[in-house]
Amino acid sequence: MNRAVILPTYVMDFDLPKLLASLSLPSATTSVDIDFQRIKYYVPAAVVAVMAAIRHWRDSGKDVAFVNWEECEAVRYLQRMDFFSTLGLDIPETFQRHDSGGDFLPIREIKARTAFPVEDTAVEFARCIAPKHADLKSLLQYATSELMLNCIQHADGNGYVAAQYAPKYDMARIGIADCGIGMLESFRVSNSSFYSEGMTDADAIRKALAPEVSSKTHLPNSPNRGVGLTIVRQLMERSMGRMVIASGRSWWYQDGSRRSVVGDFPPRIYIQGTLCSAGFQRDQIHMFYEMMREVRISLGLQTDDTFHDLFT
Amino acid sequence: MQKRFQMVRLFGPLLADGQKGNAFRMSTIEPALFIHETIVFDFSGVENMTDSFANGCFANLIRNHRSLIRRRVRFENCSILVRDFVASALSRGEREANALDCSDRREVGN
Repeated sequence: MNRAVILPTYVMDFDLPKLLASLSLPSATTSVDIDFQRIKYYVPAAVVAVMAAIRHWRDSGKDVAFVNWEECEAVRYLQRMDFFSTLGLDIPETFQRHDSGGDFLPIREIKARTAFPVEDTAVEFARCIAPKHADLKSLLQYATSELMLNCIQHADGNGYVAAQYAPKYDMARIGIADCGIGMLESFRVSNSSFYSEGMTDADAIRKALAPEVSSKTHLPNSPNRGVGLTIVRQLMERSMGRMVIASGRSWWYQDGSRRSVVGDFPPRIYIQGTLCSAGFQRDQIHMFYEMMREVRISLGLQTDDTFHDLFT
Repeated sequence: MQKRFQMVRLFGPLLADGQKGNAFRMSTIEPALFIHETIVFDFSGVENMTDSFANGCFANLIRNHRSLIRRRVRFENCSILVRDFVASALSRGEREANALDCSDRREVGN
């Protein structure tokens, strides 16, 4: 059975669940025509979500054809992001590549820990997106690292990461999509004490956002304390940014410090892996270390400084 | 006898990967802890860290060797940000060690 997927024109943070639902195909699908004609603007998470879906289709034996990319207004942008080349499609470039001007970096394919330089990638992303803003740079280094490490740890590094600064919204965004087993399954297969029968994908997302919860914390001498994602969310809140997480049958969305919203995809829609989009409002970010202190205090993680005599 | 670890030379300006921090603790720090009188972590040049690294390296270290850390370990040239990461991980590791002590005592009591 052949299916046509017509990619929508605009995908902002709050449109991500709808995009993901459109990328979920019946298992009987044997070939997919993915149509790029309408695309005008996608946040980075939307771009990597499409890439992860294409990879998943291919991994499950589906033939994927890219159609109408010639008509796509955003084709140059996608080429500069290395969207097509990372997916193995050789489209001739009819323009001169230039420096991205501090707006974005090409997409990176996240691989297994030994093959993927988390630190170098985080430093490079942050330097490109926030060359003159030390505090945003520090924040992006932290957030990108923690999110990439989650992808490596919970999805064996099968994913994509992209980052972009959107001047119109003064928003620095990170998008990560993986082709792993998703949050709920990660809790289940790790025999985590946080897993329980009847737990839903929405429960798993909420759990993963809670402080000191991870599917791996119970493992002996685990380096994981389950605070990275929680702190990224808090930093997003404090910068009046936006965050979306989607996994399995559910999605979670938060706009700044407003109350978060959780929803389920329509019946029969299932998202392979996990998608995370985190955006940070640049003009709200001052003194990163102060932000981190406030976050730790709010989460009950702040030190009582009984170790001050060890620091010189 | 003192052992000094130049963290920027070992890991670069961003200390991110908790697995690397954990492996460094097990393969390098813990053996050194029993040989050298003082262990110094020099953070000059380190710009940033993650909680994953701080916990993998320092929370697990103090959890396993609380009294030795208090006596033998020093942290030098930390920025405020780096100091907060390390101190937060040490606090967490100590809380976990205390919790383990309590559960040990309960088991002995039983």
